Amino acid sequence: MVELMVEGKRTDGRGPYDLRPLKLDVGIVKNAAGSAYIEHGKNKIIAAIYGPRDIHRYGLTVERATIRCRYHMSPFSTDERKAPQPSRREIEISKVIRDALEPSLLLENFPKTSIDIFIEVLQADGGSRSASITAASVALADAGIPMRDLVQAVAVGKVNGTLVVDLSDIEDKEGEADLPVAFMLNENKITLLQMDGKMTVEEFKTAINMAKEAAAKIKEMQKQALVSKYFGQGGQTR
Amino acid sequence: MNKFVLPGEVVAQGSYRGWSNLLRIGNNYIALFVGEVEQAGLRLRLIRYSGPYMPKAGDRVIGMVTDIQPLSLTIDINSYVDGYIMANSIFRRRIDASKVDLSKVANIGDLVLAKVQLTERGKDVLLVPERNWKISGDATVTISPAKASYMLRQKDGLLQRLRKHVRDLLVGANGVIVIRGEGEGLERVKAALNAINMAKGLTDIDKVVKEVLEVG
Repeated sequence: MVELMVEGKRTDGRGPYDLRPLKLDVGIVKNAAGSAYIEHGKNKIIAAIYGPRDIHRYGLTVERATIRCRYHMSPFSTDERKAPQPSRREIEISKVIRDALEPSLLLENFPKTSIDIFIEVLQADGGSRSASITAASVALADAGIPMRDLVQAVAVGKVNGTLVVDLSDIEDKEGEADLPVAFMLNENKITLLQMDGKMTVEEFKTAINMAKEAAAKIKEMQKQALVSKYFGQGGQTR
Repeated sequence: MNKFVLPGEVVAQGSYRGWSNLLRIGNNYIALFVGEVEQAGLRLRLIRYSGPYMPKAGDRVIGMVTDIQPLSLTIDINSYVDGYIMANSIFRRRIDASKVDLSKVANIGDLVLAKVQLTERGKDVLLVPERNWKISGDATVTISPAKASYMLRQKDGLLQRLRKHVRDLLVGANGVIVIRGEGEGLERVKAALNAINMAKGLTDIDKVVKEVLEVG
């Protein structure tokens, strides 16, 4: 078994409750309706929103906008070259991200249209789906898509029997459990819940609370990024 | 003073008679967009800082002809829905379909000035052409619809300040702006409009315009 916790510290020196360094920028893709760039640990991800735009395709929902999400890892994003065509994992994560963001959006305002979310992972580390959700939610706000709340996601895991938030790549791969969760904190709702590995019921409850605390911190970063773009550095929301 | 808000924030609590761009959940009014909230008596309004043009009746828009049908013109109004102008509203009389050829009065690519008459969820927007509905200009600039609507709302003469440098300036609520002018004046106004588009929020617009027009 790989030693991932030594004297209460993780391999990168963090404590169990610490997040990796997080940086968010808004409005970096000029041609998109809204965009965001996130650096979360070693993850470097761009999210860009296009639409709402008119679509005429059989089978699409006519009463509201259809969300189309494409999560893609660049061939150079991993240690070994990744084949550029969408893998099974990428297709699954695209769906998961779409499902995590959809509850926050008021799609009835744009019937018969599509809103496209493009997520490009430039550099991958553990928790790229969580970072993608966080960035895409900010990009949607930047695009002016009506939303009930910002969505933020984080993974909680178990390494060497200890619960830790915001898993790095090695913790993700070698740990005993991985629990990515996305929240709409204002409404106290969970929009994504996946689990890989095993936890007891008590551990699960604790993990959700840890994730919630971490999501609150991430939400502050999201708000700061939007305030910085729209209201300037000194901007204050209520 | 208006308050800056982000999506999901509780803007106000209580009971208001009217609200826009907000979601009411119980007694809470939740912001749906990034913007600022204006309160007038029992009315709340969130002024959006970003987002697509959402047509509403009475808006004056500038669009481009993208298709000519036997009895209507399809207009791109910089929105997620198209606009259309019926032939009878162009000729201002009842039309005999067999005797009308709209390609004689408009071409694809023409710019038109029209008023939004009817919007229906999920359907194209009915437009009524203004009296001089076919317009041309020396430059066309598209800015964020939120900023165009801010420019149109300003009573302190933001548009007048820009118009001093050119012959004419037509601003559509959909963010399309047609400029008539030439030389340095035209370039200054184009630069000012681009600066408006890049400005953070709406509060910086006046400052940005002043800087560009004075320095430019």
